[in-house]
Amino acid sequence: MENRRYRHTTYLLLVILTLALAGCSIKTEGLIPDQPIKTARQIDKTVKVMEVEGGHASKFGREAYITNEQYRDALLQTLMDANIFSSVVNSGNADWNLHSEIITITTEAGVSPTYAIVVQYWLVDPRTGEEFWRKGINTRHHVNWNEAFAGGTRIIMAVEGATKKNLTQLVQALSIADLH
Amino acid sequence: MFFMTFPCRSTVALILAITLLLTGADSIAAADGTGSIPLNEVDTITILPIVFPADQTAADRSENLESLYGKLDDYIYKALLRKLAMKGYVLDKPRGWSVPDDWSVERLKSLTPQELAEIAPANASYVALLFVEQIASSNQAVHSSADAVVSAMILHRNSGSVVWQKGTEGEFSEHILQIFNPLSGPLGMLLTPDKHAAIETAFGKLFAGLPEKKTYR
Repeated sequence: MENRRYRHTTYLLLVILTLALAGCSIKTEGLIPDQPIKTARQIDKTVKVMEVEGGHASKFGREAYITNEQYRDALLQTLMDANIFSSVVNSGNADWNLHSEIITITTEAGVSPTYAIVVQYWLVDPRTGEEFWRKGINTRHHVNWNEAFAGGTRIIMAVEGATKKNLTQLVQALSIADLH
Repeated sequence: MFFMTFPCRSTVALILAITLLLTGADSIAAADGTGSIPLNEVDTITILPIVFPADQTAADRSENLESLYGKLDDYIYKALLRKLAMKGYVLDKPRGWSVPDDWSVERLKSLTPQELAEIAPANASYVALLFVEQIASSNQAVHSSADAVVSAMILHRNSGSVVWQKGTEGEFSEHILQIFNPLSGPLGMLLTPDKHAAIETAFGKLFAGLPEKKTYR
């Protein structure tokens, strides 16, 4: 009888832990800017979003991170929502290829976390292989201790906030860049 | 004939000193006097390979830490990357560029900012030169330590002007008890390259003084 009660308690704790961990992971939807970014112009070119480099899954005891797949999905969706190019694709041919590399995601320790994300973006003409535009963007986001009860949630909010700002700044930079 | 009394000259000197202090907070005038670029305008900083004294490089590479010294550039780059990301800067490595001959402290320090700009990667807008001016270590039975004197310079390549420069000293010291402490992290392990740690500490101290970008959100 004692043994069965012990087993039930263990299972319950495992279920709670699994749910808590699932709720504490970074989701792609959280990385996409909340509102489509308004731009001054549309560039009359199609663009292919290439595989992202530099990302990886979060590791226990280290800074929260983003996977390459998550970042690519968020980047693709952001560009489509912003309508800055005539078309955005993730496979096949396009006028330009957009490459990106997550250089670092880092933080200052504390109960109110601030996360910074640095991403390099560059455009390549696939016909010539020439890189004709490059921009490194550094954005950060601070979350106050009282914005979420769980520390893990505050960290995720900080990473997501910094990423949303990074993607927003990318679209803004593209919209004013001298691209032909 | 223009003539200033002693109190008047003192006041002018005081005003000049205050002005210099205030303007020097965010930018350092170019060494050649051609003007200054505020740090807020600094976009991506390309970190060039670490520069050692001409005689030190060969001696260091002949030590049994050769393989670790080969990775020093990456080691320092990653440390600076995290530190400067929180201050709003973007770092990059040189692309399509190879290290010129005689990449030593003595030679590079003898060049003017314009001459340094000419040997910097053509696709970089700002470059950081990291100088290890002196590195020494001592090993005793229960204690080892290393001292590094380093300096750095951020250069605007197009104008050939110095945007920021600073020098500092860093010391790394470990006791035999620290070596066996499992909680002391990678730097406290038996194979700790103490010179690496001293250089990292010194550059860490040096770049801690780099102001945060005001436009950074």
